[in-house]
Amino acid sequence: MKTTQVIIVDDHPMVREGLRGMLATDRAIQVVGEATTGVEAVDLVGRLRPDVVLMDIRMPDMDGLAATRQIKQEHPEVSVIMVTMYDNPDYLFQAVSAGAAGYVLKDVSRFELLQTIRTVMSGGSFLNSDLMTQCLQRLASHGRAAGQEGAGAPERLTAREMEVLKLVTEGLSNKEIAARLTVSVATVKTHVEHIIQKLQVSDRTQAAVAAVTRGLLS
Amino acid sequence: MPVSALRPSPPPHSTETTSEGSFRALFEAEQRKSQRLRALVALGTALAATLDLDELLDKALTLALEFSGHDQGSLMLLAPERKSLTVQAAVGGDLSRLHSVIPVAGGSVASWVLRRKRPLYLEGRAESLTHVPRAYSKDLPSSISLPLLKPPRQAIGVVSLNATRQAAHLSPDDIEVLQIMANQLAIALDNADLYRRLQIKEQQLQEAATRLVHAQEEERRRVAYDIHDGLAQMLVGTYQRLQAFQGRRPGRAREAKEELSGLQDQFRRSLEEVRRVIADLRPSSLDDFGLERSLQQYLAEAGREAGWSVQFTFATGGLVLLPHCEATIFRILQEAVSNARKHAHSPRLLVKVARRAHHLVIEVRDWGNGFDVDTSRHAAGPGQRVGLMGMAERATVMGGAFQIKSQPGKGTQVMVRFPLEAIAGLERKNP
Repeated sequence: MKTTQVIIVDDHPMVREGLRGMLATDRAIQVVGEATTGVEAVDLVGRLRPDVVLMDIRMPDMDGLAATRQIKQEHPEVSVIMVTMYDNPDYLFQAVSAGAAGYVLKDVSRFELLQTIRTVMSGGSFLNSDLMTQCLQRLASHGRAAGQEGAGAPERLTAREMEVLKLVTEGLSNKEIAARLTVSVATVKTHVEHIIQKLQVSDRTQAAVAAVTRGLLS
Repeated sequence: MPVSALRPSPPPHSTETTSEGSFRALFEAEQRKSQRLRALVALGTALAATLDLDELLDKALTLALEFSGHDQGSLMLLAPERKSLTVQAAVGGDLSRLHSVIPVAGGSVASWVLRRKRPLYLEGRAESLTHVPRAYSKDLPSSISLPLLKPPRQAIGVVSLNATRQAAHLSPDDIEVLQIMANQLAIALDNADLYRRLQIKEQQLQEAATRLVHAQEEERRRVAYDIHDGLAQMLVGTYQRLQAFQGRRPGRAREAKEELSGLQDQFRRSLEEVRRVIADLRPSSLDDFGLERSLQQYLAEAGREAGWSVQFTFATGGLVLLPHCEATIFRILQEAVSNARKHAHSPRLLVKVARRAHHLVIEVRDWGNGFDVDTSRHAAGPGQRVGLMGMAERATVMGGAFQIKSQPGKGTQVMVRFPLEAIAGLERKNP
């Protein structure tokens, strides 16, 4: 089984150590690097090309939102999960529009943290449908998201994929989509993987963001 | 009233002998009487109607000149340390004397009058007069200097009037009227000075209060970020390590396992508490997203928890508020909303921030229990009383007028009006 390579970005050593400790309990995850500022993070991602970046928001020398924006522009295939003290939906919205795949609080449980990483890696959603809808509505009214400009001409989605993408933007889980379309969960999963590939995004969240900001569903 | 009037010869009208002459003298005397009255009334009117101090001094001086028949006047006021007189107003003649300074210790007529607290009327050339202040050497037909006396006979300045063309022949009655005018002016000046000092005090007080709020808000922000960047991160790190430890060594002993998860619960609760303290000290969203979004967030959450339908309007028309005012407004609304939540049990809530022509109005209204505003001032629970007072104080410090209307069963309305100039920063270019 391929391990998931992770970079931890946080200016506080105790938090980096804590996260490292929590990730070390999962053999499928390997921490390949640590950065203490946004600038360091951008540089490290360029050199190590990890699968996932765990990103703090409030940091000196480029905050986590700006760093995420830049990372997504240079490496759209890398997934960024915000790990922050801020439990305000506005930050979540900012993070998603900067290109984040997930958003957890720093006092997240070990189980939840590992689950979020696995979910993001397998094309699942971390956002509940309420939050997803709110986020996408605001994104639609803002008209664009960072990290979308660099995307090349994407392959056309099939009619079925469009159907799935629409339900993804409504915040439905794979299981719910499967029930709606009366297909198996495995089939939905495959559709979602294809959508992520074709849209040249890193994860399900950003697929939904792309659907809205590129006007794919209208 | 003691009057020093030195004159070499009696006035000419006192030598009339014929009956026609005596009628004429009577008539002139009556006319003079009404002139005196008119002068006093005119001064009274001027004192009541003129707000600008310089204008008032000029007017008073002009009236005194008109009444006394002199043509050059100066008005001098005693400096606070009482060692010099400064010419504050001048009418007629060379006006370069304005703002010149005369030492009280010198032998000038002004200082003579000031020290003796009585008027000095001089008629004729200096060398023909006796008992004049030693510095007096002028060749003037007549001159009169009067102390400005405020009760109880404290001299605060001197009015000096000169006749350069012909003597004015002032009678003791005329001089008395002039002295009354001088005293009236002294009282008005004293009042104006008191008023000005009061205004300065009030302004200083307002500035101090604003600085205080500002400093308090800054301090809260600093403490919030200190906790956020230090203590909170340490707690988080420790909590994470604890979880990692549990993950690495799934406890075999049941006791150890329970203790470990108990510890984790405790950490989690501590972190929630820390987050609440930080948000209370300074909602970070206020810095990052502004007042409108912060209120929206706060109301959405409060509405969810209280089961309200919240009607929120925010119409400030591009007005940019000073940072500590944003915090103050946020806190007042927060307090009002939290009061409504604790006491009102209203199905809905209205929260409004709206710009008027000269004010910013903020309002929280509910349709719940309400209360008797008068009795609650004394009888309400300490929490509620402090809450109301806190809101009113915060509002007042920012120059706002706080108002609360409530009736049992009819809901409560909390409203604050802030004058725009007290709270606005620079206007945004594109609203």
